[in-house]
Formats: sequence, C-alpha cells, structure tokens
Amino acid sequence: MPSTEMNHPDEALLLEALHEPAAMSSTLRTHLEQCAECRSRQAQLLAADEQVGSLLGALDHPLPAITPEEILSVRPRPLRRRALLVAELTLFLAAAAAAMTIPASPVHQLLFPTAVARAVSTLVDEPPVEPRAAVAPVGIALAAPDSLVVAFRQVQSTGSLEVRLTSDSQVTVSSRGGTVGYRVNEGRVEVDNRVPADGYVIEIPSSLSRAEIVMGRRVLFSKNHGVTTPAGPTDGVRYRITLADSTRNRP
Amino acid sequence: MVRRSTPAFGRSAPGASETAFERDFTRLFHEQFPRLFRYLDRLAGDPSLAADAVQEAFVRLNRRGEMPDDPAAWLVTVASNVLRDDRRRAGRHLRLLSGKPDGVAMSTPPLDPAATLESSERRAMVRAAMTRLNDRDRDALLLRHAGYSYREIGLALDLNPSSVGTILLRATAAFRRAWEEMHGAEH
Repeated sequence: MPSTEMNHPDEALLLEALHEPAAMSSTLRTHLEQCAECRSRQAQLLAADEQVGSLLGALDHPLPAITPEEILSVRPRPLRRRALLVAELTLFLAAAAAAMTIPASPVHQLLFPTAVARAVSTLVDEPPVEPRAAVAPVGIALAAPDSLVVAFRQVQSTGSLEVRLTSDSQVTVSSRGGTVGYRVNEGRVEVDNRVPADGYVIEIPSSLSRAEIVMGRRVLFSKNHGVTTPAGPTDGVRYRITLADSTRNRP
Repeated sequence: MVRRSTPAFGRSAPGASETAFERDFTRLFHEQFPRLFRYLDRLAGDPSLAADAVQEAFVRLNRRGEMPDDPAAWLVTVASNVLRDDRRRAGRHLRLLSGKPDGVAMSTPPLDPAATLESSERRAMVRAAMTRLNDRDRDALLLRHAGYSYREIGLALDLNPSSVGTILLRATAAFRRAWEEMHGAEH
C-alpha cells in the first residue's frame, strides 16, 4: 500500500467521488493522488458509468415545449376548505331559518314554546294544515368521488330514506323538514340530523363503484360495483328504506 | 414544513407585477423541467405521458402557492405519483421498461430504415436490460443519469443518502451485466 493515510476506498466511495467531486473528503483526494491502483479502479468505474449514461440516452425524446408562464396562468384553486365551510354554514342557516318558520317544527317549538301553545289553543277549531308539505327539500350536491360514504350523525326511529340510482355524475343528499346540516370531506358526507328530517333523498350515480349509507351501526344501503343491498330497487331505480329499525346492529 | 416564499394570499392579480413565488417558480421550472422530463421519459417510455406528469407536478406546485423544503425531490415524488395514477386510471399500456419499442421521435432522428430499425432495437434492449433491476435500483440509476444529486435521490426515494452510492454501484453493475448478456446473445 502506498504511503496514504487511509485504506483503499471501496467502489461505492470511488463512484461517489466521481459523481460529486465537490463533496469528496481531502483524505480521499490525497489518497487518489498517491494511489495509482485506486485511480485505475476509479477509471473503470467512470467507463462503466459513461457506458450506462450513453445507453440510457438512447431512450431520450426531445423536450416538450411547455413554458412556466403557461402553468402560472392556471389560476390556483379557490380556497376550497373555506368555501366548503361557508357553504355548510349557509346551508345550515337556511335550513334552520326554514324550519323556524314552520310552526310545528321542533326548532320553532324550541324557540317559541308559548307562542306555539297559544296558537294551538286558539286554532284548535280551525281545519288542520299540513305545513311540512310545503317545505322544499334542502340539500347538497357534489361531484361523485371514487367511493362514497353517507353517514347520519344520529340514529332516528322515524322518517324514511329514498335512494335513487341516476345516470348523473353528481351525488345529491337532501332532506325535507327538520334542521339538517351537511359536512363533506373527501368522499364522506356527514348528515347532521340532530333535529331530524321526515325524509331524505340520496341520489347516487349508477356508475359509482362503491357507496355506503349508514345510520348509527346500521348499513341502510350499500353498493359494491353491481351488487346492492337492499338487493333490488322497489320502484325501478328507487330504493325506499324506512328508518324505523335504525337501532339494529350493523352486520 | 414549508419555505414560504410569498405571503399566503400574496399572489399577484392578473396583469400585476411578478410575485416572489412566481419568480421562484420560473427559476425552478427552468432548472428542474429538463431533468424531471428526462427521468420520467426514460422511466415511462412515453414522452407524452411523461410531459403530462411533469406539467401536472408544476401545476400542483403553482396551486400550492409556496415552495416545499426540497422542491426537486418534491417534484420527483409528485410527478412519479401522477405518472403511476395516470397509468392506472386510463388503463394505458405504458411501455414501462417492457422491452417494446418506443415512439420514433428521437432527438437525433435516424435517416434511413436500417438505422431506424437499429435504433429501435437498441432502445428495446436497453429497456429489457432495465427490467432486470429492482424498482429502487432502477429509479436511483435513472435519477442519477438525469442529473440528480445523491441527496435529492435519497429524498425522492426515501433512502439514506449514504446508501445511494452502494445502490448506484449495484444498479450500474446489474444493468451492464444484463446489457452484455443481451448484446452477446444478439451477436
């Protein structure tokens, strides 16, 4: 061994010294200057490296003509989370306002208990009205994700759910009556039904491969490619599900 | 952890002067675009797919609005994921190191049919040789020969930079061995 201050470096170190000479230690530099054997090994590595580089170069194609200005001209997405939050809040307030105006709604009764009692007592002889029948459904629509879960926050023992398979590319979740809020997060829709609605309608694109609707621990509806539970629609493409037995355990 | 090159909402309005982010972005684009394309083009064997993936990675960086700690490694990771997702989603039959010939648009186009055939066969053999490597060794070798540093390779492939030299040495030897076996079998 020549008069160097280190043992012969291994091939990996010699290769690294070729690739990144600026990072080479002064000890290795000195060794290479003095050790002909290591310089020879490094020359072989260089030849091998250049051969590989040359062969890989045979795979190259011309650079495409893309400029940074083209990419910068694509405006950044609006603040999606903030927009979603605002949309959720708006929906919730709209639903609350709608529910508040309905005398028989739980929200109205909560806010105006004496007024309701007085109204009921004075209107007892008047013909019954069906205020809820006039309530427009409130809901959300979102682009169909790869996989969808709709989860009701609270189990409810009244009301109904209708699931429709559509040829559309959007998922819609809507409710009639009650005060229902929605939260959307990457393929999951949470339905805040603490003030429950009478009925819900969920429209799912039939092209969606996986979808699941759960209430508590009960799976109300599931779709896994072509297989659905319940097994078949009750009316063409509609599934009508009663929420009466929502406390049943999930299988 | 990100390096914020501009205030969160500090982008310029259309027509306004360039922001710090846009300046950084333009500089980064000119630095990184050629080698990122070279890496993905060699990996995919499909220049249009590689160009789409590189462009999408830069679009995502623009949407991000701030520079990652290591933009080069970040771009490699994002563009590689985009390439993989595109392939899976579209069901395209990528000629990913399959040994099948590429398109003919080369940087130095052969002028006669014999040269075209030779060039095409050579590319097929190079791709076939690459299939002998495991994914990590292949990616490290392609990144290195596209001009990435050991540190960037380590970050992009989640490797300890001190092991990159050993991986490159092994990948180089395996590639040459495979090439020589095939080349010997051809002649």
